[in-house]
Amino acid sequence: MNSKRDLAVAISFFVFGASVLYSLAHMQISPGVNEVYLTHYIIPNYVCAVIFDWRAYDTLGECLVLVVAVMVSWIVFGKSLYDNTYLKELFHAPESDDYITLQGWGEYTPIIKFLAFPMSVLMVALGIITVLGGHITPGGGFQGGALIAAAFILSVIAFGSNSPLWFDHKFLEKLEALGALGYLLLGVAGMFIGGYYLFNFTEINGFTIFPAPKEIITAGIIPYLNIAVGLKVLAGLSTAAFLLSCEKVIIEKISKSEEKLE
Amino acid sequence: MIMINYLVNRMDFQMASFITSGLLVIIGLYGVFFVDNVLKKIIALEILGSGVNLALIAIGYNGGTIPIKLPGVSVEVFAKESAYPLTHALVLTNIVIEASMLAVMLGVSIILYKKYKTLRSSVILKED
Repeated sequence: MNSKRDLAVAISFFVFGASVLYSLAHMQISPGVNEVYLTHYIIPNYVCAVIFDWRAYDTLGECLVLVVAVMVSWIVFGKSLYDNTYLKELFHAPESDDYITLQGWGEYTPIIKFLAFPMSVLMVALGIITVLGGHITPGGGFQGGALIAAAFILSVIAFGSNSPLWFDHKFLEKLEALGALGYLLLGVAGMFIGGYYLFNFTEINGFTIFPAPKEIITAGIIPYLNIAVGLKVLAGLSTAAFLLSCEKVIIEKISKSEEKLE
Repeated sequence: MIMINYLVNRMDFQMASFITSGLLVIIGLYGVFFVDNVLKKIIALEILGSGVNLALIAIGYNGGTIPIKLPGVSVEVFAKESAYPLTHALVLTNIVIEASMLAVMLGVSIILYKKYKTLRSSVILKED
């Protein structure tokens, strides 16, 4: 039984692999809609224009994908963190806000402790630059948000819950909701002003949405969408990494509570 | 031999990227099919996703510059020289979705280990 199924899997694997290589070797490429994207100027970063103006619904979809992934992580791990009464009722555990402790973790060398916080500050600054300059230079909300999340994770790994760069998980939830809602509401504003959801309007009643030099005055709502996406990504990735790292502490708490019950 | 000659004559930067992405997809698929460890399957899925991203970027390559317009360059000149921005946008979307999928898969693998005390998929699926 196993050998027959393995043989079938091997045959289908080789057929699929050969067809993948053959089709890639004979790829025929046509620019298609790219000609429209390239000949209509919106902002200097044309990838950002595609992501937030031409195909803004696609970016809305991927924002919500990340939100759902963080929600699933909460469902799997977060209940005992978010609602301490669950732990209290089930195991009579003492309520504590110290989710990450260095007990059981290796103590890091002074090199890591000395360098982690300055590195985190620099990474946050670089992330902010990447988010704000996303419509001009390479980068944007996703790249900048990931940088700031990496700074948060670095500090938490080096210092635990005593990290100088610390966001409470409830604050991260609010930040993620703020970013996602910011994106959604900017789309609704476009509906009122231009008649379409996520319409890229450049002014309201004579006021310019994004005051800028003449060449990039057509950015419109794109910088604000970048900021919303940056907030959502930094909060989402920080929360997901936070929850995965807290699992050990949760299990330790439950084990200690079980010992007390015996 | 004819096939090798054909590929060597057509080989350039874009063709090499296509072949590399095809090999990455095949390696990832091999890991998903034939490797027993759950974490190694997850790593294989990431390799497969990297192959797909590389294929998309290679499709957008046309020998020109990156799709960032510099000051002073006219739109007409830039449109002729730029790489295709659509594939770059698709890759950015795909990277975020891969990261989300990875977080969920890692969470589920932690739960599986707590329940079954092993990461062998054959044991988890009760095959042996």
